[in-house]
Amino acid sequence: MLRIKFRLFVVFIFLLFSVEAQQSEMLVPKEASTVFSINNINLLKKMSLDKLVTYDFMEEIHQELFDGSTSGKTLKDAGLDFDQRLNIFYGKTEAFEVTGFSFGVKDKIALFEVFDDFEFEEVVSGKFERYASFFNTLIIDKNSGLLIRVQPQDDYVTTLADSIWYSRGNDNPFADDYGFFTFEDEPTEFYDEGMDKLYDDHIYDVEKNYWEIRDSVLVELQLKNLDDVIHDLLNNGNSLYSRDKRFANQLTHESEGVFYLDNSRNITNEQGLWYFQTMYPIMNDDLKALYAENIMLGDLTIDSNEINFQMNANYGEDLGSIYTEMNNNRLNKHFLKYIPEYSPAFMVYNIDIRKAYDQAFDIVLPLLKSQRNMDMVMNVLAIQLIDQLVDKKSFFNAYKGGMFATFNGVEKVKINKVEYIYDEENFDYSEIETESDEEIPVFTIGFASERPDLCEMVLEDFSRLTSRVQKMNGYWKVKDAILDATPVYIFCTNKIFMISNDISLIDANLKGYGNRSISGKRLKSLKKSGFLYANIDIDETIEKFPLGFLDEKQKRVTERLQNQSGLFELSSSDSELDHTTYTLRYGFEGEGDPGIQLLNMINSLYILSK
Amino acid sequence: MLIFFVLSSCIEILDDITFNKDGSGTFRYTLNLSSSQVKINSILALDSLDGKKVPSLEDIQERFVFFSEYLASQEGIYNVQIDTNYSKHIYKVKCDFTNVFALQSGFQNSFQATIKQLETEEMSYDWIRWNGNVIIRKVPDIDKMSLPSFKSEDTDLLKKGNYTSITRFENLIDSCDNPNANLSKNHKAVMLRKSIFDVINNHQVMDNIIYVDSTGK
Repeated sequence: MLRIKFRLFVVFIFLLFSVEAQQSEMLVPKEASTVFSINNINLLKKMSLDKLVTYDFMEEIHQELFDGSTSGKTLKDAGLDFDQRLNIFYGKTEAFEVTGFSFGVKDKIALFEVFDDFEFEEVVSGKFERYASFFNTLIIDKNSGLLIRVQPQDDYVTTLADSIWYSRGNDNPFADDYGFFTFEDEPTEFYDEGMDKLYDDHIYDVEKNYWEIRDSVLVELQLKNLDDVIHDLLNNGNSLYSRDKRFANQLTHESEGVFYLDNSRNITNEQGLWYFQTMYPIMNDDLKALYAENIMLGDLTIDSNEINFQMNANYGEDLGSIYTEMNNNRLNKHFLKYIPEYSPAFMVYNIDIRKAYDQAFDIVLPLLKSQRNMDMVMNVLAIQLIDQLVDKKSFFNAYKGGMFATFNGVEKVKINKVEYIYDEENFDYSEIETESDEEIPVFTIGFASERPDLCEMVLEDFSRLTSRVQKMNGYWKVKDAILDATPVYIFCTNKIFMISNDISLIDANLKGYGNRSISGKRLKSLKKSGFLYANIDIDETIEKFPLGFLDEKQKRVTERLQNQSGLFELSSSDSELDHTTYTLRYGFEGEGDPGIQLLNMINSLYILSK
Repeated sequence: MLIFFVLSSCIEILDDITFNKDGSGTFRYTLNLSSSQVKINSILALDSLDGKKVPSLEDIQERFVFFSEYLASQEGIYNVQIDTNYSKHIYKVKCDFTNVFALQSGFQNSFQATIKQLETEEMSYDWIRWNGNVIIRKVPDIDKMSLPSFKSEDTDLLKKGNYTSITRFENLIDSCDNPNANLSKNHKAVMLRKSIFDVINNHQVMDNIIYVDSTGK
């Protein structure tokens, strides 16, 4: 009896200790689909809060931290517990986005010197203190905290606002009298031109304009979504940690940081698929099942001047069987001849879609056939007929799927600009054309293809249509093809179809760069890689590449890397039936702060995965 | 219009106004972006830039047609001509006017109808007055307009761009107030030229009062 009592006492003490030791990762809500968990936050001890809030992953929640309370303070001054993880998360459901981070708390007084605008609201579930400031909410458990923000999805808010607006008999709020769409942004002040409108002649005008309706919907949803997330997390204990064993397991790794990205949920919650999801709900469920295991789990490690990010892209067996067919091929050696040694950035994507097509046909067609919808039956019939009637061998010989791309620096091109010359007598003027130089990026893109005859046939026909397409000696030239300023060259070998604006390739290297093509370490790494390999010299690429050509996401990643130096190398393993491993190596030079480099890497991944 | 200011690159603006003795005249406005044609084409190839939708070339063409038709319908405005070069990106407007009030209100109404984000007070700027022998010329305060602002890294490019304003008369010019303005050798035209950077930062550098000899010489 005494022994049993002793055991119960030990269990009680253990449970008590466990409850006391609630860790920051337990406060990551289950809606999070992307999480970066930094295990070794000692790296960030000296980082200033002002620097931290400039990162994109702080974007949604940083307004509180910009009010001066962070000035000159480091993370250490903010009362954080450096023995706990810092978990940065982002998630998206069909209705809202959730962003935030959870962290350990060592000194609550110091913490509230930073979060000084937060007002106490309530105690949730008897132990969690809830504070709020504008749209941010701070949850404090005994020794851990959560800063969270929930933002309704724009499309969802618009759908509801439109519904209310039109149900009141209003016209399209975005079209003017002439039928033009006005693309007007939301006004910053609604009653800019007359607050008196509300109280004119003591008649209260309750009719809201479009933006006021939208704003009301937004605020109501924001409060409701936030309460739902917090209630489920704190009252029901439904955190990502408790709900997804894969996340919990990843946190047992001893790397500097871990990464979790549930791609299956990102795909399911993709707004652009609403039509598909609405029209074909059964098939949507089937596809959900196909993507159910699609999750990426990674580890970030720091080794002197290098950050390694190793990530397993996991998937189910059905998708795995397609990927193994598509990805596990021998390197197309013909690509190598056309990657010059001096290229600051290049990538090779070595897939075979012929093999993937056969496998995908066997897996996806039964899903499509489960639909009895008229459109889908006709589509399935068309797919089957094409499969039977088209010469697949010829088709896939023309386009095999594998490709490479190189960035070969920039080239000065001459453009004609118009200037004015003035007559001093009367200031009459006339236009003259003068030449000036503009820099444009030089690229080569090549696709695996064994049908040069088809390329010739198509270009031959185009050349009869327009004089801009000209047959030259061994290649085709398309005049002013890029930005109306510079020609593009097209040529085919027996193995590759290539498009380039690199005149040095056309002038002297039509058969490849020979001994000036990629060699040494980079070639060795490329050969060791699976189906995907990319190598970027950050310094040279960012210096030369015109950022105007990048989309916003890419630009934000690039801007963060500016003034850094080093190398990005991305490679993949061969694909297994249940996963493919990707390795991203970021080597930085000099005495770069590893903490800052780590956050730069996390920030880049955050932007790209969002 | 949006991309021109987002672009903030080498811009050449030329406004040229010719007055007849009765106060009527001809107005020519040229926006020359040929120095930046590659950059413009690269921007036009994007869907959005800095979170703003980039209009397609078709959108821009449609707006120009709308603008010219709207301007032609304005009282006191006639012979409207639009000349656009979409490969070099040179855009010209020319029209005749019966008096400066018609010119000012015609452009104000047409701009507002074409570019919705311009607020009424931004466009109701009094940029030209003429009483028969004194003309007061200004340019709108671009900096206060609700248009995207330029970035600091584009400053050097803006300094290379020019705003040139020419005012011509049938009569001889006595004098003008802006010390940076030049008088033509025949004393019938005044030219004022500043960098786009200067004009954006201080639009008053283009203010000028011109005194014309009304005795008919």
